[in-house]
Amino acid sequence: MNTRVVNVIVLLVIGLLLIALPNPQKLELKELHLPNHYHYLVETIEPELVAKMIIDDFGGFTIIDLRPASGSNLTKIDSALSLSLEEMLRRDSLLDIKYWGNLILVDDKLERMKMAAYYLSQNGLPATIMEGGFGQWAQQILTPTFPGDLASDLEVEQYKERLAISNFLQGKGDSLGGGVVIKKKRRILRRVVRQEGEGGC
Amino acid sequence: MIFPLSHHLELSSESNYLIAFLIGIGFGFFLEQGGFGNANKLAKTFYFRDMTVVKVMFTAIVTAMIGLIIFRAFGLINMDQIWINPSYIVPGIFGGLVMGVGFIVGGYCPGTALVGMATLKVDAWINVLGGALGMYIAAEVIPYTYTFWKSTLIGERITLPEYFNISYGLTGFFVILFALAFFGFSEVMERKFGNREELR
Repeated sequence: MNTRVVNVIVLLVIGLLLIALPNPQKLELKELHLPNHYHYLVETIEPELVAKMIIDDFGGFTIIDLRPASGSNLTKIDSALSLSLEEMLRRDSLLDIKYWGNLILVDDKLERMKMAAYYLSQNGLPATIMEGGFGQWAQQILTPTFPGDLASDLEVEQYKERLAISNFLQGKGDSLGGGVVIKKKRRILRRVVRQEGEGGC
Repeated sequence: MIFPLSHHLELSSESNYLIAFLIGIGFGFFLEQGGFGNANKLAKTFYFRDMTVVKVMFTAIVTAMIGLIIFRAFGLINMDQIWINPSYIVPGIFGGLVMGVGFIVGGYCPGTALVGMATLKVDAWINVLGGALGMYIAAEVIPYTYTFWKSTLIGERITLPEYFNISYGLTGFFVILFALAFFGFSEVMERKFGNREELR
């Protein structure tokens, strides 16, 4: 038989075998059901704590922005990775996420954060959701509101700290000289002093 | 073991570059052996006189595709770790035209120009230097035309199976059919135009 005819037949057979190969099944969003008991199991973290972790350059954690790309364009957390729940379900494997450290999920919908946390936990990747989602992040961190004229000294101090965090995260500097920024400066200074002491730098 | 290895083994960037370098040397060697370091042979493609280049390229695509589909089906490769270029339609067409014109005028595409350069072909050296100059000019111009390069995005990561919502295996089968049809077309064209006077 002509070699070319053989080649064509071999390629066609390979092609037909490809069709018969198993196709890894992917979960559709509508197929993902959250068990009732999971609502009480999901761990949460306050936006303020997340903000401090970012400023402190805490490391070992990754913030995942679950909103679809169009939504993510509105307001962003600078260090967050954009990975919508739909994209997460479409992935062949979540293997690489294992290396992202502790996962903090953020979205503007609580249910979606819980579903993502549940899906990740089912795949052996425990995740924490941001309390109140993006709404609370925007309210507390991006645009903190003054507690009012009758606020106690402690509340004013807290407001100043939030404002300093907000300014820092939005690149507005530390014009108010807020506590967090000062603490960060002190920490950097300590690190430099320590490194110099160790003969580093 | 799951591919890509770099992710699993946490290789340093130096090791990654070394592996890429060795694979590149092998790739270049086989391109040269296939006659891809000869601008005359490459240019004949555009006149349907010698379709070896596109046949080899298509064979490479089909081989790699079959490997990827089989590896994926058995969970041996994590496709999410494979980089896929975002699809910007109009800039893509424009870039393709620039590349095509450059190829037909110079006789080399960037990869084959490097292969020709390795065997000290003067035209390949000129081609590579021209390419470097072109890159420099493009780098200077792109910031002013950035809106254009980022226009008509249809997806950050589009693959045929996802776009047509069919399985990877079926996509592979259709690509093989297309490749066979293309090989047949190439044979017909070579028979029709191949015997004409050689290009000088």
